[in-house]
Amino acid sequence: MAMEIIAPFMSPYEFFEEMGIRTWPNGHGHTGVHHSIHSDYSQAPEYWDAMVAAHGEERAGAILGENRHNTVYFPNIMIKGPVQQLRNFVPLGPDKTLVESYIYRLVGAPDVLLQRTAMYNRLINAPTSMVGHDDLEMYERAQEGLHSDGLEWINIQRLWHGHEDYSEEAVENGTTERQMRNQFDAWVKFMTLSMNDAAQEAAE
Amino acid sequence: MSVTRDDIIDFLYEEVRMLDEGRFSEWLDLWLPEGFYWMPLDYKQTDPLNCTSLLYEDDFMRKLRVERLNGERTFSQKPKSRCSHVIQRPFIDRFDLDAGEFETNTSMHYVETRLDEQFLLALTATHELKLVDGKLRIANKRVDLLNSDAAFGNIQLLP
Repeated sequence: MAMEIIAPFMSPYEFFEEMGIRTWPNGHGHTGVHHSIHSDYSQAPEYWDAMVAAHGEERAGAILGENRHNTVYFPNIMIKGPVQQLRNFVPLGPDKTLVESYIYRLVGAPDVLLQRTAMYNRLINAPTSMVGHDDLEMYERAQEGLHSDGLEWINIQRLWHGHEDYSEEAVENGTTERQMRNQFDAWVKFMTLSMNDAAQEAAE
Repeated sequence: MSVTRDDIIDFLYEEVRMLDEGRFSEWLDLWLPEGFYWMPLDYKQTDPLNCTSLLYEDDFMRKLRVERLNGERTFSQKPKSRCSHVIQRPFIDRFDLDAGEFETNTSMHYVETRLDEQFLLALTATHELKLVDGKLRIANKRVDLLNSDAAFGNIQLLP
């Protein structure tokens, strides 16, 4: 089980390009449209049987076939459906963020699903995680870079086509930065929402 | 071959010296393959499988971790972390010479540092040791951090 969890993190670049990104209006979105790092987990047979008994084969297949990577609810919640996890990103200051990572037990489901989410939390999200070590290192180096005055702008134009309507749902290449642009678009929208109202009221 | 209480205490001191000097491959050889290295997340946690732990590593995961620490492309280890264990004289809670099985309880202060950052962890390590072919080996090890349930940054080496 540990190998199933760790190995996909070393997938080639094409794997992440082809898995796709979907963005929704208001800054939401998810990675892993076509497949994800969770796609090849072995299925618990008794869970499949219970799902078929409850929903029928077609519906059970559709539910369990959805293997998104990370679903982001703007501005700071992240869900991992295939492993029953929720992470809450709590900003404590300009240079400090607390990440809370919750795992869930599915009522009536076999223990192996709970054991997998506990293992994933330990191997990937914990402060002792080998995957997390390089992730945090990358975030901290980026933060250090932001202290420099070398560039006034942060470049998030990767795979930008020139026309993007963030009020529409879209599916694109898995390494696009459209989701970052989508989040900033939502940020601008919500930060100025009451401002526009106030301006209108003043005009009236 | 016989084992004295001093041999057991020396073994535990030698183990943390290996970790402090970054001799992780040698440290791996102290282990019996079926052993687990457990660092719980909750105070007095009893279940390693159905709750989150900081570590619950079998032979495969321990080797992968050491391989990564020794690796050339381990970006969070450029530059490398260093650690220091200051250990109290171990309690020997079980000394069964006939079975060749021993249990110890050792309080430690663990300091880990990298670049300008340094942090301190207080912990209690519980070892199950076995005498195999005349050598002491780690059958299981549990590390309880005093503040195991606190929010941490990276803990990259082995408390």
